[in-house]
Amino acid sequence: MDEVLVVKDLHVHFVLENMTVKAVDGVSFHVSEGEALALIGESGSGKSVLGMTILRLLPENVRVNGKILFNGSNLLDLSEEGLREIRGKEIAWVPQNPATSLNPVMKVGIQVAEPMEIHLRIDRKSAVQRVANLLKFFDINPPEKRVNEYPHQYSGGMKQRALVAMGTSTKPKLIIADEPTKGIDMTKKVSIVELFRKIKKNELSLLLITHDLPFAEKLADRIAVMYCGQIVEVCNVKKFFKSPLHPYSKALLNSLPSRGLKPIKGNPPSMVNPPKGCKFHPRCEYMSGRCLEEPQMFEIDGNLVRCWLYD
Amino acid sequence: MVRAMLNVGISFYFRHNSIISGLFILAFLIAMVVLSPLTADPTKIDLHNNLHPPSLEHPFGTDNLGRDVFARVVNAAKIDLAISLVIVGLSAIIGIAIGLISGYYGGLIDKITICLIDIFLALPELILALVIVGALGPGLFNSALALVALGWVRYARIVRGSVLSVKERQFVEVAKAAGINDLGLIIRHILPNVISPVITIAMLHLGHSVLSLASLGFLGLGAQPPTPEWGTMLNEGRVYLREAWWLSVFPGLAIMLTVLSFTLLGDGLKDALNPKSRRIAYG
Repeated sequence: MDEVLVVKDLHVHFVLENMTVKAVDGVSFHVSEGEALALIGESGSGKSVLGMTILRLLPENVRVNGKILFNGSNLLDLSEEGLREIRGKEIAWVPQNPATSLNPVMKVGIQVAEPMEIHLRIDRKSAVQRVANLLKFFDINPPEKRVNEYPHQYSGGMKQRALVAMGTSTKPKLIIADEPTKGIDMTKKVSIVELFRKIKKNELSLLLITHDLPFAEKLADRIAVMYCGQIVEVCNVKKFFKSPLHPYSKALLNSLPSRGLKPIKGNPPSMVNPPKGCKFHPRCEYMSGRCLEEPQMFEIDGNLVRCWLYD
Repeated sequence: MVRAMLNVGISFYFRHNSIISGLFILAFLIAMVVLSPLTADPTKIDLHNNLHPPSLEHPFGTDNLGRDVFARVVNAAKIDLAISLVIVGLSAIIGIAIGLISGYYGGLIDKITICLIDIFLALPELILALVIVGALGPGLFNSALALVALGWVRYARIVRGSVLSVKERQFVEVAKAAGINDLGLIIRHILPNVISPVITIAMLHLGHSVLSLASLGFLGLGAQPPTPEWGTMLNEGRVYLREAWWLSVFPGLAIMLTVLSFTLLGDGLKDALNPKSRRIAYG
């Protein structure tokens, strides 16, 4: 399988007046063609920042090092114009708060048509016509009426679907979906899963950023676990939910209501002064003296884990 | 039925009374402008009939040169309103553009703009206008130019502030992620979200520029005689204030009504456009 997106040793640091927040600290992973990779982790582990770094949507006080290769070319080296050709056309981004992600004074149809208007060079009228077809595909009815409505006339779930429609409208190669199930209740989650399954059929890669483990289980092919700006495990989805490798992954799964609702002791570490060595060691039940040294990635049957237990 | 309609009309009036009153006066002013060609020639001198008090033939009387004051007030409305509209239109376009650019790009451009805005706001507008017109030479065109040079500041300030908050909102990020360029982003996504306070300010500015234009005219720096202009007319009437009150009172009333109409409209629109201050419609 071809690798669509390759991230190599990526560092994203926010430089503030008197400190540096290491939101992403040496992350490497790849997404293959037609594959769904779910990036999971606690709030504040750097997942969303990682997603936004790929499209370079971060503020100016950020320092990015490393490589983000998309179809072989480094997105970090691209000019602003070159990047615009990628954004919305090759890589689409589905944002995390559907409620605030649509322009309140713009008709939804025109807004969803925007990527098509920009990249496929079709006029607004036929773009909006195509949007109507897309809305129908995503169960927003009646589409001819809905394209002319404003975001406040949509429900939360409809906004979410409209945003997914916007992301898929140009048939991108990769979709980065940031917390697509945030604020959506259990019954609607099923329809979001269906939605992403539907679009995955079109040979499209998916980078799913979520802390919703059951959702990731249903949709992803592989799971990457992020902890304090680092990826601590990359694992096949079946194996991950049966027997995860990293102690943090085990703890994370045990914190699920269906598996006993056991919280992880302690608090997530600070990204300004992360713990030395393995960043999880202060909270880890398998901790040993060796954990004060930074562990490397170990490969176990094709899965990756950053823990000395597997040395 | 009629009664119910009347009730709706009355309740609408009380909800938006300032807009309705403002529109009423404005309609009156516009009627004046439209009907101005029907009046007597405002510049026709008739020295035999000078300083006549208001009569049926000359409803507002005649001035020191025997010109019909009614015709002059009505024709001045055309000039004053048209020039004020131009001043407001140009100031708004320039101010909005500067505010959008400075708010969106930030950095050095923004620092320079802020500095300029602070300088302009620290100095009294009319004095500054006097200096500019004094340097350029008196005349209607130069006073309009001076008022545009000073008028853009209010728009730039309010637009810049709104842009700073709007550009952080998530839909801007979404549009960026869709690959839109800066110009498209500013015009299609940011501008419509910052425009509503501008409408209110433009209304108040209209009244303000009528006043400034008249002030410059009164000081002899605006429209030059024999052009009928309210401020210039006030100045001409000043000498005869004791003998012929009608020379100053009618242009003065016209200025007052115009400013009142735009102020009422501006205030009413501010309430109507701001959802927080909008009164409950179905009580």
